[in-house]
Amino acid sequence: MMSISVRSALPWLLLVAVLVLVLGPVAMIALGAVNTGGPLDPVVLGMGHWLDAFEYPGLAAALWNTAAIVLTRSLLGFLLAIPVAWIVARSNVPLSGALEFGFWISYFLPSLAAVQGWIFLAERDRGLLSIWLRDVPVVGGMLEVYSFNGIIWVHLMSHTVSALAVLLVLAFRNMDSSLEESARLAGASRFTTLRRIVLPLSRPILAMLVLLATVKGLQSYEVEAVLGRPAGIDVYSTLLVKMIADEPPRLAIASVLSTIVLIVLMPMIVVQRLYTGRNQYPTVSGKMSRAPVDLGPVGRWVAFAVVASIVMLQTVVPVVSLIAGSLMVRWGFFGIENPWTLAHWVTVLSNDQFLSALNTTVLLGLASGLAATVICLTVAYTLVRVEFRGKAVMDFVTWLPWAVPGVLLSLGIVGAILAVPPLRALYGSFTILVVAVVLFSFPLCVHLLKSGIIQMNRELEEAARICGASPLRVNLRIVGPTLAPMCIAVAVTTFMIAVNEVSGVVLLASSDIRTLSLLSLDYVAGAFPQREAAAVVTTIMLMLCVGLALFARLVLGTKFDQPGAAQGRPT
Amino acid sequence: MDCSLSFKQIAVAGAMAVGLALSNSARADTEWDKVLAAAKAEGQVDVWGQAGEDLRRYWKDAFEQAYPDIKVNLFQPASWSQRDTRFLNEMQAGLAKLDVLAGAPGSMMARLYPQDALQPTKPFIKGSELEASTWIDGTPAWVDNKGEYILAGDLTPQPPVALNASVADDQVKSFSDLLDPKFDGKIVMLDPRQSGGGFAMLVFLYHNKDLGPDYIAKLFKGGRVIFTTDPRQNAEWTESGRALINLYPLPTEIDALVKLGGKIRMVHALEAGGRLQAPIVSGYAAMGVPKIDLPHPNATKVYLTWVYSKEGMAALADILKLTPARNVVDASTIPEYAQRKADITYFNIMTEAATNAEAAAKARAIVEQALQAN
Repeated sequence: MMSISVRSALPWLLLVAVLVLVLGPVAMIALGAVNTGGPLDPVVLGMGHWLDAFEYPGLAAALWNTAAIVLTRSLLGFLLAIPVAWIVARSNVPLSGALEFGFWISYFLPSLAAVQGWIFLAERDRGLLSIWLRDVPVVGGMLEVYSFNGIIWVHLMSHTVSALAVLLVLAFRNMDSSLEESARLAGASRFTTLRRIVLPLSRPILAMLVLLATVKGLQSYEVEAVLGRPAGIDVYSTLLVKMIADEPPRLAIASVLSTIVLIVLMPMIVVQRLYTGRNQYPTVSGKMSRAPVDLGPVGRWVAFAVVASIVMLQTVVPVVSLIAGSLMVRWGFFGIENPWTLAHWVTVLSNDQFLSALNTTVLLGLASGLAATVICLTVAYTLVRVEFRGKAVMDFVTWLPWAVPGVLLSLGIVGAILAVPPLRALYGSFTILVVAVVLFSFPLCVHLLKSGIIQMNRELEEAARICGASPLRVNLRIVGPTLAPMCIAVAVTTFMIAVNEVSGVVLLASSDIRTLSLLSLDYVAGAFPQREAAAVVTTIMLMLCVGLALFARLVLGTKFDQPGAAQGRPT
Repeated sequence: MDCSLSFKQIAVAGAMAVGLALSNSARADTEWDKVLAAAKAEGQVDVWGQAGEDLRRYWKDAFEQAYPDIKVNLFQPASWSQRDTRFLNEMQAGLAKLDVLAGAPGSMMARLYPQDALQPTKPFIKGSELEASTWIDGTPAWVDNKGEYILAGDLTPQPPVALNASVADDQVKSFSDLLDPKFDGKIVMLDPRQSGGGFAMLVFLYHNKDLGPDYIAKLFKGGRVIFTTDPRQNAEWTESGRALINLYPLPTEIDALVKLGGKIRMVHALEAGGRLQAPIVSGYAAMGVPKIDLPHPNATKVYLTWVYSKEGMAALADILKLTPARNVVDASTIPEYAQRKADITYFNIMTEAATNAEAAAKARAIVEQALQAN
């Protein structure tokens, strides 16, 4: 009796933990939106900031631009990513593993490298492509990266398609191919099979990805800040950063805007939940077949050429731009005498901060990756497999960290820790950094794992239990191995977030904790900005992430790619 | 006789005066020795600034080289806004643990001073460093009107514009030349509504009696000046000809391009009201002290005294290439663009009158209105 009550209390305890973790910082932001008192005064509730927010110049245009950019890039992103992911995951396209890895690399690359690369190629009158295509009718003179179209293009070629492709490949791979084979035997074309079988089976993850693309699209900052500002295009995130950077800063108004976005997101999350809840299709079962779809001898190479071209555009441009930038006297200045140098590498590698920053970064990445995997898996499993009344609240709350831009969320975390005396002991500690990174990766990781668990047929676990396996053994031998690829993806993604995170680290850590991202920040700030040295640090950060992904793929991936493990067969 | 007595009296009086001065000096030295010993016992000082590898070398490494027994715990957030917000949050919670706020006098003036979050800096600086005759303007460069809270250590001339090589000297000689329609869409600058160089230029234009709000309204009318957030982009656009004029350029960026043979040049001043004018700015060597129980009060005294000392001023000129506010160091290491010129009238924009929050809000509102105008 006692054990039953303890077991039933566990989901509630988890819900409380999630509420504290997520709602604490978000509540501080919401409080900031209605606190009209001064920074050092007691809280005075009022709506004054809300009136000011609606009078903020450029708000309506920024919200319109945000909607237009998010919709366009998401739509085009899905149109590209779905067939590409299907080809990589479900067909006999050559070198599918390498293509998938290419998407991962693109996903790891900082947006700014892609921005820099495409400026170099497609800036009006100056970019290499612009100059080459100058005399070509129609196209000539049209290329301009500092424009709405330029923003959309750079988004597609940096993270939009690669992020969607990476997540869709994981989902498509967990799909029983016998269903597609049946459709094909019944005379359906490949397109009809994709439309009538693959996409309906992928509804949980597609619904999650639509919401994710929307929320993440709201957060996007670098591309719009660099390419949009000169073209007079402000969006939600750039406007928020502008409010924070205003002289004096308008944090309260920024909080209002974030609160509005939180409110707007609520119905979207509810709809996504209702939709997913009614359309849960397990695709991983004990009888699962993973035979690849045959594209034909020519078709598979044509498909390879198409996907490889996309991968090349997404990886070669930013990688070459980044590495060239780190090796140039001045980034993008090829016309000068002796444009190449190793001086920036010497500068960075001889910096006495470098080694400790590298150590701290690796430690933070590994600790956060491990913590995020355990926490997010627990939350995701509870959301899918445990029945309790607080489930809807927990599901909703898991989305919130991405509705608020990183800088504001970091300030919210600072506020929450300072407001709760027992938490103050954590202030400035390494532990709170790990918690912050987990929070930043929370929505993606929870929902990625959640969609994976939804796809997993209960019959596997039930069969193991009938055979006498304990719950722990079932999790270790069935659930764990089946979800291993997604767990690895979660760990690697969180590692990447930890490596790249700036605002959270800088605001929460003590001055002794220095990471590579802070070292990079140091090089682009100050009286003598050294963007090339920052490119060196970014290249090293990229090598770390790619190295980890390679390790995961070669060592862990191989093990879990074995048919028995992937299908969740007890071994 | 009288004469010799008188001489004796004078000699005795002189000896007494010298003795008194020496005694005072000795007492001051003894007191300073006590402060130094106490600071060494504290062993560290918490300084909050902003990100920047060169800033780290100035705020931390140079001081630790001078005082190896005192470690600087340097906090470097991405922006001054983040620094001040975290400080105010911690102060409200009674948890603030820092000694010195380094840099951004304008931000301190606009955000922290009105909140009564600063205490007087003066008691933390050794008296000899505040001797008026050693300061280039004949008085310590206090930012606040009371002359107690925020002290600037650098007063650097800021070239108002950088020009593409295709722009002839006689095309941009005065501020009014910037209003020429041929430059519509060809002028770039950092967003003046945000903290940083763009805002500093706005303050200069707003408080300048020869320019003022009317000029601002004309300059920014209908978005004819392009706002960005990247000084490097502004410099490169101006060099390439995409833009022709970079308003309030980052001198180090322009200098770097010039050294690479770039087609760009800085203009040290523009004419307004019949005289050549340019702003004077201060930033990284301006210091404030938070109004809390300092964790390391003696180390704070040593740190602040070092900032304004001959050694601190030399480090400022050597590492950051900024103009020291005291005339106690050889200024030859400072780049030519950062040296004052006799024929230019300079306007120090880092004053309480120029940087207070109310004035900032009014100036920004004029920019917003100008952007909406056709």
